[in-house]
Amino acid sequence: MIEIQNITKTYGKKANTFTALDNVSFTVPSGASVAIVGKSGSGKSTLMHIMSGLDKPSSGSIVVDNQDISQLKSKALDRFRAEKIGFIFQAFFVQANETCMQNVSLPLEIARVARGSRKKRIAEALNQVELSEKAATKARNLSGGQKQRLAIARAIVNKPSIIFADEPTGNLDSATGEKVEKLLFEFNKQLGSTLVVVTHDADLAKKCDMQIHIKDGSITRIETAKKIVAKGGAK
Amino acid sequence: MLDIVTRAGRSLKNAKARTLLTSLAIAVGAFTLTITLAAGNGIREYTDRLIANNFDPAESIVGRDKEVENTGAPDTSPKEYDSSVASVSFGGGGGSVQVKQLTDKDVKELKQLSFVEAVRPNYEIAARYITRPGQKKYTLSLQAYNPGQKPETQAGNVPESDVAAGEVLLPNEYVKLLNFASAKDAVGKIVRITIERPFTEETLREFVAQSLVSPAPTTQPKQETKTINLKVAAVTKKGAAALSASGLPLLLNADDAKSMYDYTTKGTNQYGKYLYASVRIKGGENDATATAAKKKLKKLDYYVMTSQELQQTIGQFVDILQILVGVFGVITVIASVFGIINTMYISVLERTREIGLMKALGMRGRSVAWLFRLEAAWIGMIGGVLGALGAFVLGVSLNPWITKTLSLGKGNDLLIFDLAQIVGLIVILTVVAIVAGWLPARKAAKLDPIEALRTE
Repeated sequence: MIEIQNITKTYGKKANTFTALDNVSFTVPSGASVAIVGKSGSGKSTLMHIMSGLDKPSSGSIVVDNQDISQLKSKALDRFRAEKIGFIFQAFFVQANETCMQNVSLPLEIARVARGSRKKRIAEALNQVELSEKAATKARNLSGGQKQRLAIARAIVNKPSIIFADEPTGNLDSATGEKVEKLLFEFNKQLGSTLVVVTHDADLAKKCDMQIHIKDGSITRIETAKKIVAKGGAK
Repeated sequence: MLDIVTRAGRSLKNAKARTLLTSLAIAVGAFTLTITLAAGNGIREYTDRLIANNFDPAESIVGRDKEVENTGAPDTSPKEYDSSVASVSFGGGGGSVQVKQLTDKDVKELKQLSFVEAVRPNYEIAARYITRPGQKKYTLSLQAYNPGQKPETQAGNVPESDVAAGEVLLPNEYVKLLNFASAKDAVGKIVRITIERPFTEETLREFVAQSLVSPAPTTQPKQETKTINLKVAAVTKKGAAALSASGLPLLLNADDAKSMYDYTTKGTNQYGKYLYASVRIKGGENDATATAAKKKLKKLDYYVMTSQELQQTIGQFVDILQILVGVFGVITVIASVFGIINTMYISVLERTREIGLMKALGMRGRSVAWLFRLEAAWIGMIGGVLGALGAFVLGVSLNPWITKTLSLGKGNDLLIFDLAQIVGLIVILTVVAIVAGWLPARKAAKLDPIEALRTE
């Protein structure tokens, strides 16, 4: 469960203060899929950064699995990200000169998973995104869709409790994008990890259990689909 | 940590040209330093052999003047006059230094000291020429034989303690000049050495008096000369490890040398005086004994340079030479440090996104910093290995040629490579590279992942 309580994020000082997020609160149940929807500059990326522990709020708290990550020291926060969070980016950010295997190995190395158990987990993750036969291929030789699937494998290899996907289909054509989406929702259901998608793609947002619409740093609307009962809401 | 090491190595592999070029800068430094170290080893070994061949470790040089102990430039300032002071020229500038000499009395005193085994005054014999019947005359230099400085022999036997009276050790250069069939042929044959007595004050006074009486003197003052027949005991040759740059002198029995010295100096103020004497100390091979003897001699107002001190002096010279060359190597390494810093900064800039990703995934700033430091370490190590290897290959292949050109003698290598030294050097260069990578690594560690990942 992710509880966002009265998050405010401001940049700059005094006269030049810019408020990126203004008193945002909502709760995401564990295992849900959430879309944070908004135009660029709306504050949706800032919200994702704060939720994932990449950035700290100016005020307010983020409680993930009963732990307030806004209070964590940087070392504990790094550990939190290494163990609980998976990231998927619009621009993939796979290491072009490394093989698929080496790419997927990175989060395990950071989380200090013993060498012996890595190989199996990497193979498993690659298998799940159907890239097993590309294990020894350098990432630069992959197509866009394959790269994003590789990024997904990298995000899921450490079995995170939350996966953040920042415009995961933004750089892909609709056919490959759909395949990536399908994978993401599959893992959301299969692994039970919470999926947070940042997007301005209304179609993608609709597929999520929960849609949080953001404009100028404030939540304008929260839509919840059928079974999901969400607490909180716009102020 | 192991992961970080392999990751650092991998990213270097991806920038092969850059890595190699930066390493080459370090390699030049490593090359210079390896050669310097090897040359230092070689020269030191060579001088050790030189000293062992040329000096008796138990022998000290003893004199009355403090120049004996002076290893630097001689002191040319005026000194109080004393009949034992002599002028010795030095250098090419016509300079001379006034040196207080040893007298026969001193030699006698030295000989009587309980810790002294032998005293060999330095006889500088001004001989006119050497010849043998039917041959031309040649110049020569004569010295008393010192068993501490055995020359190599070409024929005959070099004596253990002293040359027999009436015999001589002939340098091989004279074999051909004096028309011997061979060195072997020369052994046992007689050579003639002519020495001359200087004008004494009396003969000069006589001459002056005579010329005052008659303006055109009929008799020129005749120079008194003496010809000595000496039997060749052995033919010597200059060893590979001989110290003197000039040729070998003819070597004589100590008593013969003394009587010749006396003959050639009689009537001059040089008579019975010697620049220095070689004094053999009982048990002087031992440093402590030699030092103790030196102390006792100093109490008697002698100046002493022990064999060990002489060795140190030569060693010092080698050290200075090595430091000079080493400084160039160090400068090269310093220059290459900037190369590494530059390369590492470029590497950090190039991999901003990768750093951002790693930090976003929870890698600690410290690990990121080590990733780059180790990358620098790899560069340093590769450079060190390349340089040392290059120096080794070049050194080993050039050694025979150098030995031949400098005529160091068989088995004497100028460049001696010491594995421990080379490994130490590589380790030091690796550490230097890590230090050079410090700032770029810090920049990488402090990178904000959000900012880094924003770079499109």
